[in-house]
Amino acid sequence: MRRLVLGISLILLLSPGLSHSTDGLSDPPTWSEAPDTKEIDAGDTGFICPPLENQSWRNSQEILGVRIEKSERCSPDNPQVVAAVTKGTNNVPRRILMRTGLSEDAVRKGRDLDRDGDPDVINISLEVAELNGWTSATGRSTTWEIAPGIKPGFWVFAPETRGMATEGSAASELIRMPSPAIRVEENDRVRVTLENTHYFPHTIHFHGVDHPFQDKKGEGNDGVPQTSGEMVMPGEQHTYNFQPSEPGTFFYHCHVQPSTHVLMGLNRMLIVSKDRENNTVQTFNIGNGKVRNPSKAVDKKYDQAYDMLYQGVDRQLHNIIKMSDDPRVIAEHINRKYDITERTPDYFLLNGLSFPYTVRESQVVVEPNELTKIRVLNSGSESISIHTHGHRPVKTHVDGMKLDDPIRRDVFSVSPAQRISLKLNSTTEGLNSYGKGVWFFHNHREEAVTNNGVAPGGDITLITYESFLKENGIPKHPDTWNKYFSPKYYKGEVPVWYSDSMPEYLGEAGRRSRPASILGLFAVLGIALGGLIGWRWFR
Amino acid sequence: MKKYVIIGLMLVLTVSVSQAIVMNNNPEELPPGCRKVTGERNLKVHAGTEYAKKFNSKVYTYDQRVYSFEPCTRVTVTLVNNDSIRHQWMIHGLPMETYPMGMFTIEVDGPGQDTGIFIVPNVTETLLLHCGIPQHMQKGMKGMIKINGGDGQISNVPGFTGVRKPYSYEYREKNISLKSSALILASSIVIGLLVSSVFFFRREVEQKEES
Repeated sequence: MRRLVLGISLILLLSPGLSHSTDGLSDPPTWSEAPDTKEIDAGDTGFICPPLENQSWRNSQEILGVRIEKSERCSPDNPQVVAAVTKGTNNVPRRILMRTGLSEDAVRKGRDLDRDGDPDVINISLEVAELNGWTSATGRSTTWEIAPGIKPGFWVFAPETRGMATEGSAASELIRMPSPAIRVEENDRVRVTLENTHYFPHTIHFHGVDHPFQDKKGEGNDGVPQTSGEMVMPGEQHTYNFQPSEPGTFFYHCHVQPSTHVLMGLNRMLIVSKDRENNTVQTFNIGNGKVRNPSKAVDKKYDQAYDMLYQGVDRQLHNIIKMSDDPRVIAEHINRKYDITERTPDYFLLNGLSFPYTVRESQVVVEPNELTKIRVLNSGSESISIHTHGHRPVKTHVDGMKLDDPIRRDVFSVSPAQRISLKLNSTTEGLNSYGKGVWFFHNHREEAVTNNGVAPGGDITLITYESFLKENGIPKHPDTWNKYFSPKYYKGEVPVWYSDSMPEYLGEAGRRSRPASILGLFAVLGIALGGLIGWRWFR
Repeated sequence: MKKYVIIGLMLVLTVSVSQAIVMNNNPEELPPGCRKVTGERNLKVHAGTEYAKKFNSKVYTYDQRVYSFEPCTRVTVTLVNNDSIRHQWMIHGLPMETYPMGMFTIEVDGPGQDTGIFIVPNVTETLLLHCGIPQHMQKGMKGMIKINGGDGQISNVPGFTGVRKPYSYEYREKNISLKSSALILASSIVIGLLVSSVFFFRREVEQKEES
């Protein structure tokens, strides 16, 4: 009897191993049909390009004397915002300003000190906003979706706004990832006031722009709390000032706990344009991408200009702000529990978005024989390798400084915090451009073309020739793009090739059902066996 | 008549202060259900970080967070901002006919104050009061406007109401879940059984050898 019990228990324990050993050439098991291909529910795909309220936003136009270039993108900038931040929010009629959601203090432009036809006294007000933060079941928070269904938490510098910031309001269009690119002119007297509307301390550090260590009052002006002045506490403000003597593409970011604050989104491009006559620059490029009102020096040499910001997102860091409403708990986890040395990015952003949303905003749209200036900043913690399909651009500047010998490549590596400027020539002769088409433009680190491992995603954008563009700003494409706009796709619930062909072997295999009753039977058997052994043992 | 002149003057003053904005200011238009203004209320509300200090974990709040108003009362609110940033005193859920988007807002940018007027609708409701700057509501700037006694409570108003799924501070790091406890219990039973059966098997062999 004892031997019998022991034998049964051994067979039960070893049975999975035994079954394989009978799988031999001489004695194959009988044919059993694999499960059927599952029907796939791809989920709600939404719009590839959401309908634009005002079609005229895409046109080239003039508002309040500000010339605004056309933008063929699906989601173009609001031309009234472009006009207001160029002219100065203090120089715009109130009715226009109210519609933009900007505060009158967002960018005040003052006197023309050198009498060359443009303002030289620039006062900028920035607030700190949290996106996708903690919210109670009934409360609403300011949200930002980087790709279908994906909402990591972020902190951003936002131009000072007016009114409510929740979804649908005018201000909410301005409070977004990434923080806005700031443009000033060489020798402008720039004052940037940080109004800390957030619940953690912050500062601004101007990376690469010549600025005094302390201001005239002896207060810190470098934004580094350990060496230059105090942190700006919640509810308080501080003004930084500089008068840049060198033009170029620079960087500004928070320097409080920069190992996390920079990556949380408190970083952006700062461009000092060359001193020219009548050069009233577009102070903010909201959301980056195409510059609708390029500076005089760029306008003379190029047909258009783009700002491109790259950064990786480690979900583990960005989800911390969602866990609690208690700032002490959030600080504990961000400052002490999160270990950046174990960082693994899950998402890769271009101008605050991942593919497919990048195509709505950051598509480079060209016509043949054009010159496009592309400024790139890598504000993430990993280097990037930018590759342009169909084109061989020329690198003209690094870290704001002009190269004596421009470098032609089809892959450009950019280190963290580094800026490069590219000259993209769309002349078809093989060297510059291979010809008209819809060409990928992406970071060639393979993980960077995925959203948490599901491709296509990440920082992919396109160089699209106008003749390949549909009216809504989305390129003509043979593939079904609908599935990329469903949250289910990036959760990994949709087979990548499901709609294309051959569902019999490229679709989703069904699962054999394993009735729950078997588990119950196992449990009963286990208990009986245990009881039997125990009974025999203790008897 | 005199009253309207004063109100008119206040309106002009309101608009001329550039650092503040009152949206949907309404000293006159009667909301649906009101046949006349039945009373006057004057309020001074303070906003800022200093009022949040007495609530652990809160960052911003108002000195008053719960208000009781009678229907058809004309309320004159002065918002005093003690911080160097923007704050709002924003009511949601007012009748759309009188208040576009159902809102009444006073916004003050930096230290200072501003005054706005609204007429309470003839309803029995609890309306949401908050600051619309990201996370200010979540971090304490939230309140309730109870009209005619109100028809319920709003969550997460410091000192008054909590949240439905509050953050658990207990055993934060070593929180033992039901699943892991069950797993550990099950695996120990299996291990125990294995050990005892091996032991049993050995005894069996020994007994056999003895015999």
